Amino acid sequence: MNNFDEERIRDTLQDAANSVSVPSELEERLIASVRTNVDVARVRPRETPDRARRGRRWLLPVLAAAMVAAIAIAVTVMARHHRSAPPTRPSPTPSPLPPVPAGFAAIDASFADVQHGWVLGKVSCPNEKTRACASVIRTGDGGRTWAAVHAPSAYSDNTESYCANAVPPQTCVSRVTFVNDRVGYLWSNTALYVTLDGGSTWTLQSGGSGALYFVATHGVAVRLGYTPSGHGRILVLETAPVGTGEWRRISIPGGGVLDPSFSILAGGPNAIYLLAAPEATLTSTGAITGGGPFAIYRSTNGARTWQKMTEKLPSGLGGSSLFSGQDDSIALRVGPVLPGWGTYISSDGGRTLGPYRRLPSMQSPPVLQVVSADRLLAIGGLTEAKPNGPTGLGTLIYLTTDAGRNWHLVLRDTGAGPYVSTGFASMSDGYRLAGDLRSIWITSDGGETWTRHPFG
Amino acid sequence: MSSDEAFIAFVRTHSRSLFRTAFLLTGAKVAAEDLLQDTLARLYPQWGRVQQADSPIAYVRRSLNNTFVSSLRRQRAHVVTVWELPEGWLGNRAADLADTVADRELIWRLIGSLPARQRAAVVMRHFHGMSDGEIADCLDCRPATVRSLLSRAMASMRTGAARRGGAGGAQEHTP
Repeated sequence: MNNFDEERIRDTLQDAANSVSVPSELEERLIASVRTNVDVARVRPRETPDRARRGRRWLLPVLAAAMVAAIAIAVTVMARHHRSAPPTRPSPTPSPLPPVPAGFAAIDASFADVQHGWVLGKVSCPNEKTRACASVIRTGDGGRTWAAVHAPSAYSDNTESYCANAVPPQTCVSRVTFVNDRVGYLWSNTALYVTLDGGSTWTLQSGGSGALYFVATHGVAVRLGYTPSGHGRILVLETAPVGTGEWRRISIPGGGVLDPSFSILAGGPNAIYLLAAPEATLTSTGAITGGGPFAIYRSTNGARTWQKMTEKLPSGLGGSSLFSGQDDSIALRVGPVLPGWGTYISSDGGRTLGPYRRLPSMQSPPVLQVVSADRLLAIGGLTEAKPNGPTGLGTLIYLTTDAGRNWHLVLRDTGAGPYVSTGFASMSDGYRLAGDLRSIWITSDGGETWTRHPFG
Repeated sequence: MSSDEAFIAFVRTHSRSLFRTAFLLTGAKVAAEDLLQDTLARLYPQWGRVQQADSPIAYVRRSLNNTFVSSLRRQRAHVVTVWELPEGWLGNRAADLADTVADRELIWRLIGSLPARQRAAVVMRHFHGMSDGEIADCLDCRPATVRSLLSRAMASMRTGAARRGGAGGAQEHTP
């Protein structure tokens, strides 16, 4: 078969995988049967003849093993009765975890699950007091207590993905992303460090620069960032197996090159999304021209294949951004359309968009945190009037539980904290860095109420 | 997080994706669930090692493929697997999609007619995008054997398609 046919094989396999319905309660059944070593016949109503035969084959050896174990336990118990009790030895006192460093100022946070979270911050560099160095702290109890973990010898900066002020920029990080309780990344547009042991050791990945957006799901890390080309820098999409430095450039969904001004990557546990205008071309001067209408692309297999989700997106996408949730919900922020910003919400990965919804009035472009298609947070900057002019930065968080029809204020945070660092580890458990840079807000009711926990 | 908690988290995160892979290998939902459960049951006692892997999902997927190939070797004598169509295709008979659906059904059945190792190689290459070396590692053979498996799979599917007059069969004899 030629390549065309191989493409059809790929499409067929992809389509078959997407079209098969997953049995209900598969996860719970697997967990129950594997953990308790219960034969599948007692857990799942259907079984293959082969499995039943295999179960019977194992019956005698299992009974024999059980008898041997019972005899061994009986002998051990009897032996203990004939022996004087050994002197009690004090159990070793666990060494205290290193405290959060003095002067720690939070920049970004990431929770791998409800309990395990990390915060990237900055402290004064030991030998260069005028510069900020990276520092990392972690929690294992949902944000209530925090302790320092090892951080790489890197500078740090708090300008979202950028490390504008660090010299050399190759060793500056401004974002943290943890995939699970062991594998995590410290990254920026110029550097990428990975840990495979929860932050005890970090490795600077070669070719790790260029990430403007970085998501990790489905066993792969995906980044969207700049790379040099003959005509200057172009935006490329790259993937690598999670935890490795085996980055591979992949083709752009829709073809052509990406316009760096309007290409957004977002990721959730189920899918990766790209908002882009396809088929743009790169001119000899390095400019991006042409390009079809904006589209949302979705990949459910770790960026191997992409599906164009929405044929025609609404106009007015100049200030657009894309946010994805814990399920297949996404929100497309558009604007500004006077008097403010708006959003289109989708509950099916972008295939269909809901009606235009006004976002609460903010003094900066609001960041959306999608919990579900009905429940979203809008997070924006707050400027307070002061005698000498508008200063006193803070953050407002509004919540909607009816897909954007109504919004109500749930948190008013003062201080100059980064308002982008908000996330949810489940449909109910979320976090956001506090504006004082020394604490974190935690919610366990989907954003209705928030409790502040200081780092130390 | 304990090894047990990590296992639960892994299953909750990845079992749907792994089930889909298992369905592509077995062509039947019940067999897919059995295969997935067998694989996880084998790995559970050593879940710490799975956690240590560079990519736990890749590790489990590799084990799923291994379990599939070795289980078919055992079952071949007495188990006949019915190659099912995914439910999502059954109601999709609109006239404008008929050709596409028929084409995919044919390719799907051709994949189902392949011997286990060839089918596993096709799924690994064309669904997971794995290299010869990665597939060889999975199937415990040399990369040259993988190329041979894929080549024979393609030839077999080509012949099947030509016999049934679809899926590129008309092009088969083009020099």
